[in-house]
Amino acid sequence: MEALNCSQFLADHLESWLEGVRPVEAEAHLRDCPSCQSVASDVAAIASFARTVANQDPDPPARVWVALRARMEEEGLIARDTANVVARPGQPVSWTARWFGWIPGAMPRPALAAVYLALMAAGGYMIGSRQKPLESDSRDAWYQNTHMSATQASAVLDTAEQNTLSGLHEPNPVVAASFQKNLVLVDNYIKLCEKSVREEPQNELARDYLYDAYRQKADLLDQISDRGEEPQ
Amino acid sequence: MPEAEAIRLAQQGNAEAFERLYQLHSRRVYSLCLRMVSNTAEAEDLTQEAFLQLFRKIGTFRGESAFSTWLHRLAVNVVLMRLRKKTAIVSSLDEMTEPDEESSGPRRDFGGPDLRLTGSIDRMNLQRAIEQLPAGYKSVFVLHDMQGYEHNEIAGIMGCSIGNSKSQLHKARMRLRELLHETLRDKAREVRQAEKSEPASEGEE
Repeated sequence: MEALNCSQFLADHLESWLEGVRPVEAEAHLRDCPSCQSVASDVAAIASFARTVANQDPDPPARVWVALRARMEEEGLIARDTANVVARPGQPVSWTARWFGWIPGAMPRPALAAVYLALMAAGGYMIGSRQKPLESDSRDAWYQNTHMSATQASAVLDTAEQNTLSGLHEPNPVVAASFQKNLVLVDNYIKLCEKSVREEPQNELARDYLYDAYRQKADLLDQISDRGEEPQ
Repeated sequence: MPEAEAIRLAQQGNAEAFERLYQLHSRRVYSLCLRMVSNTAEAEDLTQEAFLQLFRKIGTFRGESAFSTWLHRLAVNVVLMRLRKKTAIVSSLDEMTEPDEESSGPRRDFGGPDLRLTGSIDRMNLQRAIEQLPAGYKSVFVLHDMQGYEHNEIAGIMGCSIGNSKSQLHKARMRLRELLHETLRDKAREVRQAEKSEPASEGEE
Protein backbone atom coordinates (compact mmCIF):
# COMPACT_ATOMS: atom_id res chain seq x y z
CA MET A 1 0.00 0.00 0.00
CA GLU A 2 1.41 3.38 -1.03
CA ALA A 3 1.41 6.11 1.62
CA LEU A 4 -0.72 9.16 0.91
CA ASN A 5 0.73 12.64 0.88
CA CYS A 6 -1.15 15.68 2.21
CA SER A 7 -2.46 16.73 -1.20
CA GLN A 8 -3.90 13.30 -1.86
CA PHE A 9 -5.48 13.11 1.56
CA LEU A 10 -7.06 16.55 1.35
CA ALA A 11 -8.21 16.28 -2.24
CA ASP A 12 -9.40 12.68 -2.30
CA HIS A 13 -10.19 11.60 1.22
CA LEU A 14 -11.01 14.52 3.49
CA GLU A 15 -14.68 14.82 2.64
CA SER A 16 -15.41 11.12 2.75
CA TRP A 17 -13.37 10.90 5.97
CA LEU A 18 -15.63 13.57 7.48
CA GLU A 19 -18.63 11.50 6.42
CA GLY A 20 -17.23 8.48 8.22
CA VAL A 21 -15.64 6.66 5.27
CA ARG A 22 -12.13 5.93 6.54
CA PRO A 23 -9.97 3.71 4.38
CA VAL A 24 -6.80 2.33 5.96
CA GLU A 25 -4.41 4.54 3.96
CA ALA A 26 -6.31 7.71 4.95
CA GLU A 27 -6.31 6.73 8.61
CA ALA A 28 -2.61 5.96 8.40
CA HIS A 29 -1.82 9.33 6.87
CA LEU A 30 -3.92 11.20 9.38
CA ARG A 31 -2.33 9.38 12.30
CA ASP A 32 1.13 10.55 11.27
CA CYS A 33 0.33 14.04 9.97
CA PRO A 34 -0.44 16.76 12.54
CA SER A 35 -1.15 19.32 9.79
CA CYS A 36 -3.84 17.20 8.19
CA GLN A 37 -5.20 16.35 11.64
CA SER A 38 -5.56 20.06 12.25
CA VAL A 39 -7.28 20.64 8.89
CA ALA A 40 -9.64 17.72 9.37
CA SER A 41 -10.55 18.82 12.87
CA ASP A 42 -11.12 22.44 11.79
CA VAL A 43 -13.19 21.51 8.75
CA ALA A 44 -15.31 19.18 10.86
CA ALA A 45 -15.85 22.02 13.35
CA ILE A 46 -16.78 24.47 10.57
CA ALA A 47 -19.22 22.06 8.92
CA SER A 48 -20.83 21.12 12.22
CA PHE A 49 -21.17 24.72 13.40
CA ALA A 50 -22.50 25.84 10.02
CA ARG A 51 -25.30 23.29 10.24
CA THR A 52 -26.15 24.44 13.76
CA VAL A 53 -26.27 28.06 12.65
CA ALA A 54 -28.47 27.21 9.65
CA ASN A 55 -30.91 25.35 11.90
CA GLN A 56 -31.37 28.55 13.91
CA ASP A 57 -32.14 30.72 10.89
CA PRO A 58 -35.45 32.56 11.17
CA ASP A 59 -38.37 32.36 8.80
CA PRO A 60 -38.64 35.30 6.41
CA PRO A 61 -40.74 38.16 7.82
CA ALA A 62 -44.46 37.89 7.16
CA ARG A 63 -44.32 40.94 4.89
CA VAL A 64 -42.41 38.92 2.27
CA TRP A 65 -45.38 36.66 1.64
CA VAL A 66 -47.78 39.58 1.78
CA ALA A 67 -45.79 41.52 -0.83
CA LEU A 68 -45.33 38.39 -2.94
CA ARG A 69 -49.03 37.67 -2.88
CA ALA A 70 -49.78 41.25 -3.92
CA ARG A 71 -47.42 40.91 -6.90
CA MET A 72 -48.98 37.59 -7.86
CA GLU A 73 -52.39 39.19 -7.79
CA GLU A 74 -51.16 42.08 -9.90
CA GLU A 75 -49.79 39.64 -12.46
CA GLY A 76 -52.98 37.61 -12.41
CA LEU A 77 -51.26 34.44 -11.16
CA ILE A 78 -53.93 34.18 -8.48
CA ALA A 79 -57.33 35.77 -8.16
CA ARG A 80 -57.66 38.91 -6.06
CA ASP A 81 -59.13 38.30 -2.64
CA THR A 82 -61.56 41.19 -2.38
CA ALA A 83 -63.31 40.05 0.75
CA ASN A 84 -63.31 42.63 3.54
CA VAL A 85 -62.04 45.35 1.27
CA VAL A 86 -63.59 48.73 0.76
CA ALA A 87 -61.59 50.91 -1.58
CA ARG A 88 -61.90 54.58 -2.36
CA PRO A 89 -63.47 55.02 -5.81
CA GLY A 90 -60.76 55.16 -8.44
CA GLN A 91 -58.02 54.04 -6.07
CA PRO A 92 -56.20 50.73 -6.32
CA VAL A 93 -56.69 48.42 -3.36
CA SER A 94 -53.47 48.07 -1.45
CA TRP A 95 -52.47 44.84 0.26
CA THR A 96 -52.71 46.59 3.59
CA ALA A 97 -56.29 47.42 2.77
CA ARG A 98 -57.01 43.83 1.88
CA TRP A 99 -55.44 42.53 5.08
CA PHE A 100 -56.43 45.15 7.55
CA GLY A 101 -59.60 46.57 6.02
CA TRP A 102 -61.70 45.42 8.96
CA ILE A 103 -59.89 47.56 11.48
CA PRO A 104 -61.40 50.90 12.48
CA GLY A 105 -59.23 53.80 13.54
CA ALA A 106 -57.44 51.55 15.94
CA MET A 107 -54.53 53.61 17.16
CA PRO A 108 -54.16 57.36 17.35
CA ARG A 109 -51.38 58.84 15.18
CA PRO A 110 -49.51 60.48 18.08
CA ALA A 111 -48.95 57.01 19.53
CA LEU A 112 -47.37 55.91 16.28
CA ALA A 113 -45.22 58.99 16.16
CA ALA A 114 -43.89 57.95 19.57
CA VAL A 115 -43.14 54.51 18.21
CA TYR A 116 -41.10 55.91 15.36
CA LEU A 117 -39.34 58.45 17.56
CA ALA A 118 -38.34 55.67 19.95
CA LEU A 119 -37.14 53.58 17.03
CA MET A 120 -35.17 56.47 15.58
CA ALA A 121 -33.48 56.98 18.93
CA ALA A 122 -32.73 53.27 19.28
CA GLY A 123 -31.62 53.01 15.66
CA GLY A 124 -29.39 56.05 16.05
CA TYR A 125 -27.53 54.38 18.89
CA MET A 126 -27.57 50.97 17.30
CA ILE A 127 -26.10 51.93 13.95
CA GLY A 128 -24.42 55.17 14.89
CA SER A 129 -21.14 53.51 15.85
CA ARG A 130 -20.37 52.80 12.21
CA GLN A 131 -20.00 56.47 11.45
CA LYS A 132 -16.86 56.80 13.53
CA PRO A 133 -15.00 54.50 15.87
CA LEU A 134 -15.72 55.18 19.51
CA GLU A 135 -13.01 55.88 22.04
CA SER A 136 -12.83 53.12 24.60
CA ASP A 137 -13.81 55.57 27.39
CA SER A 138 -17.13 56.31 25.77
CA ARG A 139 -17.96 52.72 24.80
CA ASP A 140 -19.48 51.72 28.10
CA ALA A 141 -21.73 54.77 28.06
CA TRP A 142 -22.66 54.05 24.47
CA TYR A 143 -23.60 50.43 25.19
CA GLN A 144 -25.63 51.59 28.16
CA ASN A 145 -27.47 54.03 25.90
CA THR A 146 -28.01 51.32 23.30
CA HIS A 147 -29.54 49.08 25.93
CA MET A 148 -31.77 51.90 27.21
CA SER A 149 -32.84 52.81 23.66
CA ALA A 150 -33.72 49.22 22.84
CA THR A 151 -35.66 48.87 26.08
CA GLN A 152 -37.47 52.12 25.37
CA ALA A 153 -38.32 51.08 21.80
CA SER A 154 -39.56 47.72 23.04
CA ALA A 155 -41.75 49.33 25.72
CA VAL A 156 -43.26 51.85 23.29
CA LEU A 157 -44.01 49.08 20.80
CA ASP A 158 -45.74 47.03 23.52
CA THR A 159 -47.92 50.01 24.40
CA ALA A 160 -48.72 50.62 20.73
CA GLU A 161 -49.69 46.97 20.32
CA GLN A 162 -51.98 47.08 23.35
CA ASN A 163 -53.65 50.23 22.02
CA THR A 164 -54.11 48.62 18.61
CA LEU A 165 -55.56 45.41 19.96
CA SER A 166 -57.90 47.21 22.36
CA GLY A 167 -59.22 49.26 19.43
CA LEU A 168 -60.43 46.28 17.40
CA HIS A 169 -64.16 45.74 17.04
CA GLU A 170 -65.47 42.35 15.95
CA PRO A 171 -62.89 41.74 13.25
CA ASN A 172 -63.30 39.14 10.54
CA PRO A 173 -61.97 36.05 12.36
CA VAL A 174 -59.91 34.81 9.38
CA VAL A 175 -58.17 38.14 8.87
CA ALA A 176 -57.80 38.66 12.61
CA ALA A 177 -56.08 35.28 12.79
CA SER A 178 -53.71 36.34 9.99
CA PHE A 179 -52.91 39.53 11.88
CA GLN A 180 -52.28 37.64 15.11
CA LYS A 181 -50.10 35.16 13.24
CA ASN A 182 -47.99 37.96 11.78
CA LEU A 183 -47.70 39.61 15.16
CA VAL A 184 -46.53 36.36 16.76
CA LEU A 185 -43.96 35.90 13.98
CA VAL A 186 -42.60 39.40 14.45
CA ASP A 187 -42.56 39.02 18.24
CA ASN A 188 -40.65 35.75 18.00
CA TYR A 189 -38.18 37.39 15.64
CA ILE A 190 -37.73 40.25 18.11
CA LYS A 191 -37.12 37.80 20.98
CA LEU A 192 -34.50 35.99 18.92
CA CYS A 193 -32.76 39.26 18.05
CA GLU A 194 -32.90 40.54 21.63
CA LYS A 195 -31.30 37.31 22.78
CA SER A 196 -28.48 37.74 20.23
CA VAL A 197 -27.89 41.33 21.37
CA ARG A 198 -27.87 40.29 25.02
CA GLU A 199 -25.29 37.62 24.23
CA GLU A 200 -23.16 39.89 22.05
CA PRO A 201 -23.95 43.52 22.85
CA GLN A 202 -20.99 44.80 20.83
CA ASN A 203 -21.98 43.04 17.64
CA GLU A 204 -23.14 45.49 14.97
CA LEU A 205 -24.91 42.85 12.90
CA ALA A 206 -26.91 41.64 15.89
CA ARG A 207 -27.95 45.22 16.71
CA ASP A 208 -28.95 45.81 13.08
CA TYR A 209 -31.15 42.72 13.16
CA LEU A 210 -32.80 43.88 16.36
CA TYR A 211 -33.45 47.34 15.01
CA ASP A 212 -34.90 45.83 11.84
CA ALA A 213 -37.13 43.57 13.95
CA TYR A 214 -38.48 46.56 15.89
CA ARG A 215 -39.05 48.40 12.63
CA GLN A 216 -41.00 45.46 11.23
CA LYS A 217 -43.35 45.55 14.17
CA ALA A 218 -43.77 49.31 13.89
CA ASP A 219 -44.51 48.91 10.17
CA LEU A 220 -47.12 46.26 10.90
CA LEU A 221 -48.83 48.50 13.46
CA ASP A 222 -48.51 51.47 11.14
CA GLN A 223 -50.27 49.62 8.33
CA ILE A 224 -53.16 48.82 10.63
CA SER A 225 -53.39 52.41 11.72
CA ASP A 226 -53.18 53.69 8.12
CA ARG A 227 -56.11 51.51 7.21
CA GLY A 228 -58.00 52.86 10.19
CA GLU A 229 -57.93 56.34 8.67
CA GLU A 230 -59.48 55.26 5.37
CA PRO A 231 -63.26 55.55 4.99
CA GLN A 232 -65.07 52.37 5.98
CA MET B 1 -51.73 19.67 2.10
CA PRO B 2 -48.85 17.44 0.85
CA GLU B 3 -46.28 19.03 -1.47
CA ALA B 4 -47.29 17.04 -4.56
CA GLU B 5 -50.92 18.07 -4.12
CA ALA B 6 -49.89 21.69 -3.54
CA ILE B 7 -47.84 21.67 -6.76
CA ARG B 8 -50.76 20.21 -8.75
CA LEU B 9 -53.20 22.79 -7.37
CA ALA B 10 -50.74 25.67 -7.79
CA GLN B 11 -50.42 24.72 -11.44
CA GLN B 12 -54.15 25.41 -11.63
CA GLY B 13 -53.74 28.83 -9.96
CA ASN B 14 -54.94 27.85 -6.47
CA ALA B 15 -53.89 30.59 -4.04
CA GLU B 16 -53.83 28.32 -0.98
CA ALA B 17 -51.53 25.92 -2.78
CA PHE B 18 -49.09 28.73 -3.57
CA GLU B 19 -49.10 29.73 0.08
CA ARG B 20 -48.51 26.13 1.14
CA LEU B 21 -45.49 25.84 -1.17
CA TYR B 22 -44.19 29.11 0.19
CA GLN B 23 -44.61 27.86 3.77
CA LEU B 24 -42.79 24.64 2.98
CA HIS B 25 -39.75 26.20 1.34
CA SER B 26 -39.48 29.89 2.24
CA ARG B 27 -37.22 29.38 5.26
CA ARG B 28 -34.52 27.59 3.30
CA VAL B 29 -34.72 29.99 0.38
CA TYR B 30 -34.59 33.01 2.70
CA SER B 31 -31.70 31.49 4.60
CA LEU B 32 -29.83 30.90 1.34
CA CYS B 33 -30.44 34.49 0.22
CA LEU B 34 -29.46 35.87 3.62
CA ARG B 35 -26.17 33.98 3.63
CA MET B 36 -25.40 35.04 0.09
CA VAL B 37 -26.06 38.77 0.44
CA SER B 38 -25.82 39.32 4.23
CA ASN B 39 -28.51 41.97 4.16
CA THR B 40 -32.02 41.30 5.44
CA ALA B 41 -33.82 43.75 3.15
CA GLU B 42 -32.07 42.41 0.07
CA ALA B 43 -32.60 38.81 1.19
CA GLU B 44 -36.33 39.49 1.53
CA ASP B 45 -36.39 41.01 -1.93
CA LEU B 46 -34.52 38.06 -3.42
CA THR B 47 -36.76 35.54 -1.66
CA GLN B 48 -39.77 37.27 -3.10
CA GLU B 49 -38.20 37.34 -6.56
CA ALA B 50 -37.25 33.65 -6.44
CA PHE B 51 -40.78 32.60 -5.48
CA LEU B 52 -42.33 34.90 -8.04
CA GLN B 53 -40.23 33.30 -10.77
CA LEU B 54 -41.12 29.88 -9.41
CA PHE B 55 -44.83 30.59 -9.43
CA ARG B 56 -44.67 32.09 -12.92
CA LYS B 57 -43.05 28.93 -14.22
CA ILE B 58 -44.80 26.36 -12.07
CA GLY B 59 -46.95 25.26 -14.99
CA THR B 60 -43.83 23.95 -16.70
CA PHE B 61 -42.72 21.81 -13.74
CA ARG B 62 -42.97 18.19 -14.80
CA GLY B 63 -41.35 16.56 -11.80
CA GLU B 64 -38.16 15.38 -13.53
CA SER B 65 -36.18 16.77 -10.62
CA ALA B 66 -37.15 17.30 -6.99
CA PHE B 67 -39.25 20.40 -6.53
CA SER B 68 -36.86 21.80 -3.91
CA THR B 69 -33.92 21.35 -6.30
CA TRP B 70 -35.81 23.23 -8.98
CA LEU B 71 -36.73 26.00 -6.57
CA HIS B 72 -33.17 26.30 -5.27
CA ARG B 73 -31.80 26.44 -8.79
CA LEU B 74 -34.09 29.40 -9.41
CA ALA B 75 -33.12 31.02 -6.12
CA VAL B 76 -29.40 30.58 -6.69
CA ASN B 77 -29.76 32.03 -10.19
CA VAL B 78 -31.69 35.02 -8.85
CA VAL B 79 -29.02 35.66 -6.22
CA LEU B 80 -26.10 35.21 -8.60
CA MET B 81 -27.72 37.50 -11.16
CA ARG B 82 -28.11 40.16 -8.48
CA LEU B 83 -24.49 39.77 -7.40
CA ARG B 84 -23.33 40.01 -11.00
CA LYS B 85 -25.34 43.16 -11.55
CA LYS B 86 -23.84 44.63 -8.40
CA THR B 87 -20.30 44.04 -9.49
CA ALA B 88 -21.14 44.84 -13.13
CA ILE B 89 -19.15 41.83 -14.19
CA VAL B 90 -20.68 39.03 -16.17
CA SER B 91 -18.75 36.03 -14.99
CA SER B 92 -19.11 32.30 -14.94
CA LEU B 93 -19.23 30.25 -11.77
CA ASP B 94 -15.55 29.41 -12.12
CA GLU B 95 -14.64 33.06 -12.49
CA MET B 96 -16.38 33.83 -9.22
CA THR B 97 -13.93 31.61 -7.39
CA GLU B 98 -10.31 32.25 -6.68
CA PRO B 99 -8.35 30.51 -9.46
CA ASP B 100 -5.00 30.40 -7.71
CA GLU B 101 -6.19 28.44 -4.73
CA GLU B 102 -5.24 24.93 -5.77
CA SER B 103 -4.21 23.72 -2.37
CA SER B 104 -1.22 21.44 -2.38
CA GLY B 105 -1.30 20.88 1.35
CA PRO B 106 -2.38 22.46 4.56
CA ARG B 107 -0.93 25.88 5.29
CA ARG B 108 1.33 26.04 8.28
CA ASP B 109 1.39 29.14 10.38
CA PHE B 110 5.01 29.21 11.45
CA GLY B 111 5.55 31.26 14.55
CA GLY B 112 1.81 31.70 15.16
CA PRO B 113 -0.14 30.22 18.01
CA ASP B 114 -1.50 26.71 17.52
CA LEU B 115 -5.14 27.60 17.12
CA ARG B 116 -7.82 24.95 16.71
CA LEU B 117 -11.24 26.02 15.60
CA THR B 118 -13.15 23.38 17.54
CA GLY B 119 -15.16 25.10 20.22
CA SER B 120 -13.92 28.57 19.30
CA ILE B 121 -16.09 29.53 16.30
CA ASP B 122 -18.99 31.83 16.96
CA ARG B 123 -21.96 32.68 14.81
CA MET B 124 -20.84 36.18 13.89
CA ASN B 125 -17.30 35.19 13.01
CA LEU B 126 -18.58 32.45 10.76
CA GLN B 127 -21.07 34.85 9.16
CA ARG B 128 -18.32 37.39 8.51
CA ALA B 129 -16.05 34.75 7.06
CA ILE B 130 -18.80 33.44 4.78
CA GLU B 131 -19.40 37.00 3.57
CA GLN B 132 -15.82 37.14 2.37
CA LEU B 133 -16.07 34.01 0.23
CA PRO B 134 -16.37 34.39 -3.53
CA ALA B 135 -19.95 33.82 -4.73
CA GLY B 136 -19.27 30.40 -6.25
CA TYR B 137 -17.67 29.01 -3.10
CA LYS B 138 -20.32 30.60 -0.95
CA SER B 139 -23.21 29.01 -2.88
CA VAL B 140 -21.77 25.51 -2.63
CA PHE B 141 -20.81 25.91 1.04
CA VAL B 142 -24.26 27.22 1.99
CA LEU B 143 -26.06 24.53 0.02
CA HIS B 144 -23.89 21.65 1.28
CA ASP B 145 -22.71 22.47 4.77
CA MET B 146 -25.57 24.68 5.89
CA GLN B 147 -28.58 23.33 4.04
CA GLY B 148 -27.56 19.70 3.76
CA TYR B 149 -27.74 19.17 -0.01
CA GLU B 150 -25.71 16.35 -1.57
CA HIS B 151 -23.21 17.04 -4.33
CA ASN B 152 -25.42 15.52 -7.02
CA GLU B 153 -28.25 17.86 -5.97
CA ILE B 154 -25.90 20.85 -5.87
CA ALA B 155 -24.67 19.95 -9.34
CA GLY B 156 -28.31 20.08 -10.47
CA ILE B 157 -28.93 23.38 -8.71
CA MET B 158 -25.73 25.09 -9.82
CA GLY B 159 -25.58 23.56 -13.28
CA CYS B 160 -22.08 22.15 -12.72
CA SER B 161 -20.49 18.72 -12.42
CA ILE B 162 -20.42 16.75 -9.17
CA GLY B 163 -16.63 16.98 -9.21
CA ASN B 164 -16.84 20.74 -9.58
CA SER B 165 -19.20 20.95 -6.62
CA LYS B 166 -16.81 18.87 -4.48
CA SER B 167 -13.84 20.95 -5.50
CA GLN B 168 -15.64 24.23 -4.78
CA LEU B 169 -16.71 22.96 -1.36
CA HIS B 170 -13.17 21.92 -0.49
CA LYS B 171 -11.80 25.33 -1.49
CA ALA B 172 -14.60 27.12 0.36
CA ARG B 173 -13.84 25.21 3.58
CA MET B 174 -10.11 25.85 3.26
CA ARG B 175 -10.72 29.55 2.71
CA LEU B 176 -13.12 29.72 5.65
CA ARG B 177 -10.55 27.97 7.82
CA GLU B 178 -7.97 30.58 6.87
CA LEU B 179 -10.36 33.45 7.55
CA LEU B 180 -11.42 32.05 10.92
CA HIS B 181 -7.81 31.48 11.92
CA GLU B 182 -7.05 35.08 10.99
CA THR B 183 -9.87 36.20 13.27
CA LEU B 184 -8.59 34.05 16.13
CA ARG B 185 -5.04 35.33 15.63
CA ASP B 186 -6.31 38.92 15.68
CA LYS B 187 -8.19 38.25 18.91
CA ALA B 188 -5.15 36.58 20.48
CA ARG B 189 -2.99 39.56 19.45
CA GLU B 190 -5.47 41.99 20.99
CA VAL B 191 -5.45 40.03 24.25
CA ARG B 192 -1.64 40.00 24.32
CA GLN B 193 -1.52 43.74 23.65
CA ALA B 194 -4.07 44.41 26.38
CA GLU B 195 -2.04 42.30 28.80
CA LYS B 196 1.13 44.19 27.90
CA SER B 197 -0.47 47.59 28.29
CA GLU B 198 -2.09 46.78 31.64
CA PRO B 199 1.08 46.80 33.77
CA ALA B 200 2.24 49.99 32.02
CA SER B 201 -0.98 51.82 32.80
CA GLU B 202 -0.91 50.49 36.38
CA GLY B 203 2.59 51.89 36.74
CA GLU B 204 1.47 55.29 35.55
CA GLU B 205 -1.09 55.60 38.29
